[in-house]
Amino acid sequence: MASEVSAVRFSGYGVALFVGLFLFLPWVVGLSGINGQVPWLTAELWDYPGLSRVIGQSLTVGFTATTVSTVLASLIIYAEQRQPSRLWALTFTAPHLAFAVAFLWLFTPFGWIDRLLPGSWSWFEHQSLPTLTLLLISKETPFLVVLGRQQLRQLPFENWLLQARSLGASSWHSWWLVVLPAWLKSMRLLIIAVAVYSVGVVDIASVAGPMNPPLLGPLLVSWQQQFDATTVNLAAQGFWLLIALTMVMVAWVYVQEALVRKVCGRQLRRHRARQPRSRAQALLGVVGGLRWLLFIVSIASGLALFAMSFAEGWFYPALLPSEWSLQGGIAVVKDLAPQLLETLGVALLTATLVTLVLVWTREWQRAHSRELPDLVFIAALLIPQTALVLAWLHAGSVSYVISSETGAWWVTVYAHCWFSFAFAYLSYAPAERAETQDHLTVGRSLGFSYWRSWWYFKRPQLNGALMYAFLVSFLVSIAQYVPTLLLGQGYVSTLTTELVVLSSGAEWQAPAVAAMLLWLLALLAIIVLSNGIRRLHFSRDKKSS
Amino acid sequence: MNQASSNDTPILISSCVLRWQQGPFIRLPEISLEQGETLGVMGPSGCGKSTWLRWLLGVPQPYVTISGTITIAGKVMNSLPIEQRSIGLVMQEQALFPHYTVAENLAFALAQQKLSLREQKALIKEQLNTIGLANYENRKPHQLSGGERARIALLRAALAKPQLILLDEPFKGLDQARRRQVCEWTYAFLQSQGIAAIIVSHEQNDLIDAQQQLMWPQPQVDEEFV
Repeated sequence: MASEVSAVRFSGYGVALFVGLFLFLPWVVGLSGINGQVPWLTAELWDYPGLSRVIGQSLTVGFTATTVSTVLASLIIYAEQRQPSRLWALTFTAPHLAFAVAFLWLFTPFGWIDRLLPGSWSWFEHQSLPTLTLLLISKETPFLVVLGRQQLRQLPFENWLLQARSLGASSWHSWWLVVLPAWLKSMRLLIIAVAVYSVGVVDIASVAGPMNPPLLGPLLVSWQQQFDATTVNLAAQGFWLLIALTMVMVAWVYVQEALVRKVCGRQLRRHRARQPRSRAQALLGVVGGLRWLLFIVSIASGLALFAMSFAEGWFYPALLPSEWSLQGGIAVVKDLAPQLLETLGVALLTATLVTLVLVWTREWQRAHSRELPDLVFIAALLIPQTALVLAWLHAGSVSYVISSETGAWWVTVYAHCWFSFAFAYLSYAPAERAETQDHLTVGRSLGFSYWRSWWYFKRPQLNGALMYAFLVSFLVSIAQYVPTLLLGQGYVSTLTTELVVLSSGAEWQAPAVAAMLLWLLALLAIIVLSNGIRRLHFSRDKKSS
Repeated sequence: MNQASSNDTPILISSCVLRWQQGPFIRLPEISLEQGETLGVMGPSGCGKSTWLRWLLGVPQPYVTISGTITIAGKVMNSLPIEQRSIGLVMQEQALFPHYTVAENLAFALAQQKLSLREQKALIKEQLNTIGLANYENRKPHQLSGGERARIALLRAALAKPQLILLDEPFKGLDQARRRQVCEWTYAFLQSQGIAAIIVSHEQNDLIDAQQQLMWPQPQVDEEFV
């Protein structure tokens, strides 16, 4: 009995130490990198040609993408509060870069839509600010919708609506005046994550963003990659600039929230009992249109990638290629096989490790009755990835470890795990919190150890959530660009890093095949895991009946 | 569609039948309430009291079919949406909007009265004084005790000037000493405002001050179904 207790204690402390190290080590390393290693801003940086435009463009993309995505997500959540649509998930799960490559092929001049309706899309330049902003909005809106629904479920919004209506307000006014401010507050961290990603975006910006000058994120990465001490020093100084822009964006999220709160607070005194039917109908129509538009664009993007991968001699303005060649596409697939295997291997390892740490993290909190704020676990989303990776690169320990192939590989996997963990935590924690410890306690009262009891009694209740967390980590890992590029030091080459390299050339078949493989990998993971979740539900229903 | 069924009685709820899908049913007696009169409904948890209360408010009930007519001041309410029924609701849990101050919570109930901002502020101040919570305007619900929250929730419901207020387990979560205090205050307040109320609870002590009392009936099963 005594040995059982000490075993539990030992594993408790061991787990705490491991999880603590896993979560906090990157912060410690990052701070040690910044401390004395990252130079302060000098005239050299300020005098860089076009820097003010670089800053202006980054802020424009950040502000527009964040604000428009938030507005659209709130409209969609209102319109779908009774019947949430699953169609958003298709765009949400599509890898950013694969979606961008297909989107560009469809909508830019000389693209497929331009061939179908000549001249209609000439304002969508291949690499421009509006194209990048639109792409970000198309990707971030489904992200906020899918995770925003989870946040909404944690609010007693149905009771609030009921009470507001019993005080004489229409359901329209009740939603916008009572639910919206609370939902927006609950979404704060997620909206900050979107804002931070948008202002420091590198992956999509390298493919679809303006090039002369580029946005700050791609500029810092390109400086860091040049083997010239002056430009590497500029990249280090750019760290502070990116942090400053991030602060501006975070402040904007707070201002946005305060403005909504203020406007709603004023309108509270003027709500109406009559439902503005035409407005509500128009909104439902707009949301329905948007839903189908994005769904069709996603499907069309997938088809476009497929067509580009196996087309030969597809010259402007032909709607279809002059011939199809399976061999051509397969040859590119063979060339990309090492990257495909690397992507798959890193993503599977990442998803497995993240799921294990996730379970330990939640169980540690439950076992110690200590609910730590979400901020502790998702803080990685609130700092620009590029800035963090640059800080790590300035820490002596990291630059030493990544100088070898094995070291670079493990550091890259660790970075993937760390960034994926934040997203997986957001998807798993609400489901785990909703589950009581009753089954686990009953198991322990029957003599099972904590973890055996968890495995036999609690895990079956959470299988769906665990699989979803695994899927989220997998999807985040396959889309990682900056950590793989800068920490992998060329030793780690995934489909994502290869796709950016291939996209910079004039050739379109190879990037299309890389994007298609990336998308297929994501789809395969979704199909396998959704099937697993369905089977679990089916077998549970069968047992209970 | 609306018809005057009894202009003399302000609130009349015909004998309602709650029927669960192909299962048991409950038949309630006819209920009539005068202004300022309270009906206490007592019964164990999970027997359909809150379901019936929500049906009175106008919330569709997916698993229960409820038949009956609600008439307020001679007007049948059944086909009207919640916001047009002139029926208020008070719940103990999540009773106030937590992200708004006390004054904003109360202002929400005054929106239909077309008062100027100054008049609204003065009215809120005066009403808070009346219930012994002067200078509470800028507090948030989490800064209030359970009893204070209960009083403000009831005041908010009353400020909207409904004909009937439904109180669903309004004293839940309060300790015994405070519970009795808030309970007495609630009945006195409702009477002073002249608003009829239906109070649902599973504690008999909560309902001893109600003018009318209804013991929730036991479910019955159709003979042909048996």
